[in-house]
Amino acid sequence: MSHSGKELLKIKGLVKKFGGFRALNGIGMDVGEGCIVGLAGPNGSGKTTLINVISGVYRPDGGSIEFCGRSVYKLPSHKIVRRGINRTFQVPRPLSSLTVRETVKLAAVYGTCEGNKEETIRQALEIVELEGVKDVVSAGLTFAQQKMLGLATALATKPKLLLIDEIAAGLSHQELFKISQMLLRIRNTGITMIVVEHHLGFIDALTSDVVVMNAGGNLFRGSIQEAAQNDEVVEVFLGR
Amino acid sequence: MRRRYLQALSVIILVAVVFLLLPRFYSNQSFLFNLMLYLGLAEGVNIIYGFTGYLPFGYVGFFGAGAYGSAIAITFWHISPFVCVILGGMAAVATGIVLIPLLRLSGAYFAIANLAASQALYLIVANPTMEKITQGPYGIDLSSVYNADAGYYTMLAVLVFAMVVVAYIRNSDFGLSLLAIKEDRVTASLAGVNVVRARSIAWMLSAFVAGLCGGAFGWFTAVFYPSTVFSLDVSVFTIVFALFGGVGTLAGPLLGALLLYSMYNFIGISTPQYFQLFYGFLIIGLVLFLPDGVASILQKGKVYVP
Amino acid sequence: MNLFVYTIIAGIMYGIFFGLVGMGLNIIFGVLKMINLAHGDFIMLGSFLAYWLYGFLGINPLVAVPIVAAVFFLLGLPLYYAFVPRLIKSKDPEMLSFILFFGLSQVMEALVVFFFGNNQRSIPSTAFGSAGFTIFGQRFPIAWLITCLVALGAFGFVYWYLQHTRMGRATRAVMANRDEALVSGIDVERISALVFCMGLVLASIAGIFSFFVIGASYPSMGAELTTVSFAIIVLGSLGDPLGTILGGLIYGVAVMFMQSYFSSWAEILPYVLLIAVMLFRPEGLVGKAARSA
Repeated sequence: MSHSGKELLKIKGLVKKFGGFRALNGIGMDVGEGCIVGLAGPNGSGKTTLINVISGVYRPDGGSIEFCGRSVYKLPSHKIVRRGINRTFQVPRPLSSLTVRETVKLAAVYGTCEGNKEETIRQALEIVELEGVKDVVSAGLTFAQQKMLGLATALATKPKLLLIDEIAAGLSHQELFKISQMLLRIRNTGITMIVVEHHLGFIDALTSDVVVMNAGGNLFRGSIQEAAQNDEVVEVFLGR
Repeated sequence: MRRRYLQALSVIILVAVVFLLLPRFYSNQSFLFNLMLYLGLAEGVNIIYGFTGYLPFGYVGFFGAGAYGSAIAITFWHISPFVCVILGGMAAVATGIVLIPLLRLSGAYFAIANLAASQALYLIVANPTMEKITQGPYGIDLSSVYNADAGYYTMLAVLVFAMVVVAYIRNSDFGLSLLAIKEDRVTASLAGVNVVRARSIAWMLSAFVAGLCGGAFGWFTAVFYPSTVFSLDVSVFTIVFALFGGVGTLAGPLLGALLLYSMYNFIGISTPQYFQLFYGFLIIGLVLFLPDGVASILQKGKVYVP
Repeated sequence: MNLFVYTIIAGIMYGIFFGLVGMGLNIIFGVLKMINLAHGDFIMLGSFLAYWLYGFLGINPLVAVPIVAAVFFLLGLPLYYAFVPRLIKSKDPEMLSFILFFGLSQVMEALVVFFFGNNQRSIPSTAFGSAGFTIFGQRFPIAWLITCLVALGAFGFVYWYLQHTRMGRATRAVMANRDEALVSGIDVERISALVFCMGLVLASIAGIFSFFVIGASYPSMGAELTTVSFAIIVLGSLGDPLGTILGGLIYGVAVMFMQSYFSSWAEILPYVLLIAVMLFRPEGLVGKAARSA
């Protein structure tokens, strides 16, 4: 935990309803600048919904979200992105007819006003190791490459906070190791991260600061080891 | 990138020169005008359908709004018809602004709602209670300002404008953002694209082109009825011309409109049902065998289509 | 007051007929999630077939119902197998089917012009005799009553099929979720073909009786009928066949009120209704899929 003392993201009492169902039911969390926070919880506990609400894909129904001291609550996605938050998807959503380079360029042009565009594109492609396929149409990439393209697109918008949704799902062991190294390198460039993950070993390799969600609310915060000793956490994970 | 702009520019110049010179060799000005009209409309549909994926089945609404906006300005204000054609374009943009909420609908729902909107506009304009403003069903008579040559060259200017807009979209970051919206709105907005604004701009540009076409048509024809300028056929022809050539490119819709409108002129005017039959089969064949149009044949052969 | 009562009763009868007009479009949408843009043209074609049977063979429209139904059922099969499986496999079934059925509507319109010319055709309402009938002191032509009874019979048939037959239960499963139905071993392809044909049959029956409610038929009447039908099924509930009846009734009563009290603006009603419902009540009436962002 490399708390620099400054809170980058402050969430309080967040609510998201789908019809009568409260997918988020009062969750709150603070994330310090430069940290990686793991986000765990059983299926349906609201992890992905939380990512969707923070990134503006879903509109929240209550609570507050502050980023860098300013509210991003209910802002549309593109504004949230320009404030410095971006995310990846568990199942990649590529822009099928655009090439890798065009996709990343779009993000560099529209997602940020900082920096030299060409340099931003080059760096993003380099970090995720897609330089070799930069002129390939997204539809022609492998599943793993499409995930990397999603990450590169997010990086090209120069985020301060990156929300990573189940990046390990559907990838092989070697790929997992490579990705955890990649995420640590990204963190070392000064980007804060919330990493949603089922795979607890994967989270353990990245951080000792884990938030466990249940039923749209907070259950626990601490290290994986502490979580394993916590009766409530054990119950929600094993009780299913 | 610069090379692509030059290729687009040469297409535009070629088309412009052809229509500047053709009247000297070919006396059927009305055919040439209508051909330019459909080239322009096909590029207008291309802006919204080719780049954002919204199929404007009620595209004729903008055409009619332009024809009537321009004609009403000529009748009431007695200003230069050329200015009125631009006002016609603005009238179409105003119609487009009213219809922006329709862009929240997707796919076929948008297409049908847009069709309904164009029919509603037609019934408003053609309603006998609107006689003081629109002449209701009795039509517009602009014979006092009739000037076929001026109308012809105005249409040429409109066509060049439409081609420039498409060439810009085809080769710019803005166009890239529209294509991204067409593929996946969420991914586009997470790349920082203001989806609502970008698609509204495309929508209004598309409306503007149709409105200018409508204004030029009104001036060139001088006498027209609401049933002519709000005919569903205009939407349908335009969409199929654009689809046949291949949307998302500058040259595709031009090619489609050129081939099919010429054919229409050849067999369609004397025996419309033969053309309609051919046309119906063509649409079915297109969907089943060539959904991306003629341009896609070239693109599969790795040929760049401007 | 008399006008008011007349308007309500006429609106209900008109609405029952328009429920039938929308029904075929809605069951096809329910199963295939495709909008049959040639729906109005199938209604038109049905009316021309009935006209021909009446005018040249002297067959009463009521007797024509099973004949026309059989013809359209047999017409539906080749159309289904020629187009629909390919469309379902295509990259954008919703949009491409929309365009393809539009092409089909053009072909149908052209063929009808070939065979019948570009004229209006009608069957006189005296085909059922010149008697009238009276409800609450309001007199209506007997043809309206017969039309309503046929439409109610068709609704009854659809209800019976969906609720009380094995195929019908399977059909409801396909309507609810095509992929799950496929996995659970239902012959989705066969049901789709059957429902597609049923949709055309229902459209053609609406066509037979359109003479008595709407008036003369002409080859280019299809587009407007498709739009009206779409307004009705959106009003009722997209993909829910029995909701169509509700949509038809709302539409029928609204049209009659407009015609009685604001006749010069009556024609615009279906279009305005369609847009208003799609924009303002999409979750309840169109479902989530219709809107995004």
